[in-house]
Amino acid sequence: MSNVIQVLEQMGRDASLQNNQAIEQLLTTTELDSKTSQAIINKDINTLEKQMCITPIIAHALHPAEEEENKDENKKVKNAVNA
Amino acid sequence: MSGNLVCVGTGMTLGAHISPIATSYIAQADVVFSLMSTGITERWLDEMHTDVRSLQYCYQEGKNRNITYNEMVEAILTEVRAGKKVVAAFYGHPGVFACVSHRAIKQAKLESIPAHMEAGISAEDCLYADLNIDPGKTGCINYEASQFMFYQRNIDPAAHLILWQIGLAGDKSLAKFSTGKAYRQVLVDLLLETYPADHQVILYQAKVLPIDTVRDEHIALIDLIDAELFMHTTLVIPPSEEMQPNEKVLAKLAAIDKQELNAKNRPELTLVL
Ligand SMILES: C[S@@+](CC[C@H](N)C(=O)[O-])C[C@H]1O[C@@H](n2cnc3c(N)ncnc32)[C@H](O)[C@@H]1O
Repeated sequence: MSNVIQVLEQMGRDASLQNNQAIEQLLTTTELDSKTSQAIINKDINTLEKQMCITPIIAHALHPAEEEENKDENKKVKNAVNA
Repeated sequence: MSGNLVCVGTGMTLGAHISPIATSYIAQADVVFSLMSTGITERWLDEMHTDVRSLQYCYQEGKNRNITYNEMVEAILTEVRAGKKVVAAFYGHPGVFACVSHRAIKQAKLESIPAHMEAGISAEDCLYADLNIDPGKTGCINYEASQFMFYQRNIDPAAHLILWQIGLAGDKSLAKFSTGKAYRQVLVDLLLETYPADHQVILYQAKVLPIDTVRDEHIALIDLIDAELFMHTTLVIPPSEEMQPNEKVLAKLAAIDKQELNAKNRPELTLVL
């Protein structure tokens, strides 16, 4: 795992890293370059993404308002009721 | 060798929520498909396994999302049918407002392929913690925002109402990644049939990265029209009314209580011959 992901993962799961001071302290012990460390301290996600050469995701809408199968099932219920 | 499919959730916050079993399935898979909500979380997953394939390429603005979802299902099942141990990893809970996992598991089972889902921590779970809401207090109902608009639904103003995908509200084409003010005006008009214009609603965004801050923005319902909404914004509408006692049911229950009490207090009869 790359350094920066490791650091972010550690920040996510370590109870002692849930405050700014502890994070700054942690960053002095990592080998992250200063721009990346500063982006983490500043909570500057855009710069962090740039530093990591991340391509932004396209979308994360995962749910249709109307399921194709639901529509069919609704019709079936209606037909059964009408029959 | 026969393939199988496990759909797992990575939770909402990088590093904080992924379960041990999800991590283990990912590590032991032959192929991992991913559908994450940010580039950084996608990178995190990439680095967990040597063969992680993002399904992002299926999305395209202007393309009906039902087609997109079916393409994702097919991509996953092609590898399962080839006999591979496949994991599909989704952010949040893999089965909460997430049709791809449900469709893939259903199809796999139709083809007699072993498939199941492991629960994850969803946006809704985070919302209860971050906004200090207990869904058991007065009840809580969840709708996908557009579905809520397209169909006649009952609103209970004494319960919480949560509208998902609020940034896409009113998109009938299933092809947009956001909708504008005119669509939102229709939603607000619909909500104004139940809630006052100045009713305080909450724009909610959970932490995705540990360096994110939670969005817990309270605005008047009427201001929703001009609010800044993203694909990951959830709208929370707190109750505007008190719960009203259901007198009919309460009377029926009281009658049963009374009958039971009378039966208990009745003197024991002894049979005298
Ligand atoms: C297709 S659903 C996916 C939900 C996801 N499976 C889960 O378990 O939360 C997408 C919707 O989830 C909600 N959502 C996603 N990310 C969120 C976040 N970071 N904070 C709040 N809500 C979020 C929004 O309503 C968004 O439109």
